[in-house]
Amino acid sequence: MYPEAISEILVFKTNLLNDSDIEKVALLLNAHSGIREWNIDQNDIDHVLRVEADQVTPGEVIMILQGAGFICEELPD
Amino acid sequence: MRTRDESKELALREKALEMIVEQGFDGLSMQKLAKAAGVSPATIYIYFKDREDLIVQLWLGEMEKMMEASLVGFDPEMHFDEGLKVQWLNRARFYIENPMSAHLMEQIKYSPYYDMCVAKVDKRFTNAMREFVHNAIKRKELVKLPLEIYWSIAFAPLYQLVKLHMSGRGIGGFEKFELDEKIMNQTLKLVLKALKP
Repeated sequence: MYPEAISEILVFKTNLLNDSDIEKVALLLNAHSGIREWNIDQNDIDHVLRVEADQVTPGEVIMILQGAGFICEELPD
Repeated sequence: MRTRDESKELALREKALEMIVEQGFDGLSMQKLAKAAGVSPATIYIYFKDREDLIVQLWLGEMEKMMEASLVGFDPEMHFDEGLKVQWLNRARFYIENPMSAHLMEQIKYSPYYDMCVAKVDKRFTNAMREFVHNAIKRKELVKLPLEIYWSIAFAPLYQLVKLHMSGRGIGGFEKFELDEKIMNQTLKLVLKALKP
């Protein structure tokens, strides 16, 4: 038996300001097999992107967002 | 790897509750909360998906405590008079000992979060209350009424007394008011009389 996989939670500051911005990255994030779940806190000043993922580095997520023309920085612990 | 830490989560819940009660929903931001709880904003997102999730989870947590407290020593098979007395004592004690929980529940009730909250509430409590009422009606200890009327007679008087107790003042705002067991029993007696078939 393998132990149950626990997703890692990655947290980023972004400039995803509205629904249309979110739509633009939604397809890319949904398409990534390592990303289990993600959401954006639209009430937060940092427009935080929260990602639950398995074996995904913060760099990969940053590349995805930057590739779509957005700012994305990992929020430090 | 970010790991969950129960004491951190507890501190976050405590501070968030304080902020909402003292400053309203607009007074709660992840940045302010992080500062107050001594963690980074990123840490909050380990425990809560976003600000909305935090508010809903907070309510669910307080609700869970209230339900837990109200079911102590309670059995849906109890005689109506006895069961209602247990409910009154349990609920009064809980709200008086946890004024912030009471405050949050009132705030949520009149906010857009209410629908999200009630959808997620544990059915154990509502089921126990429903069973209690149905048993009492079957045994002819309680008159059959629409739920809203039943609740308004069975519990609203208690909640009003608890509110007066928490404000420390009676009607009019001049006299001191303290809810004690004598006042509770006197009120309960009238409530039970009104609910007899």
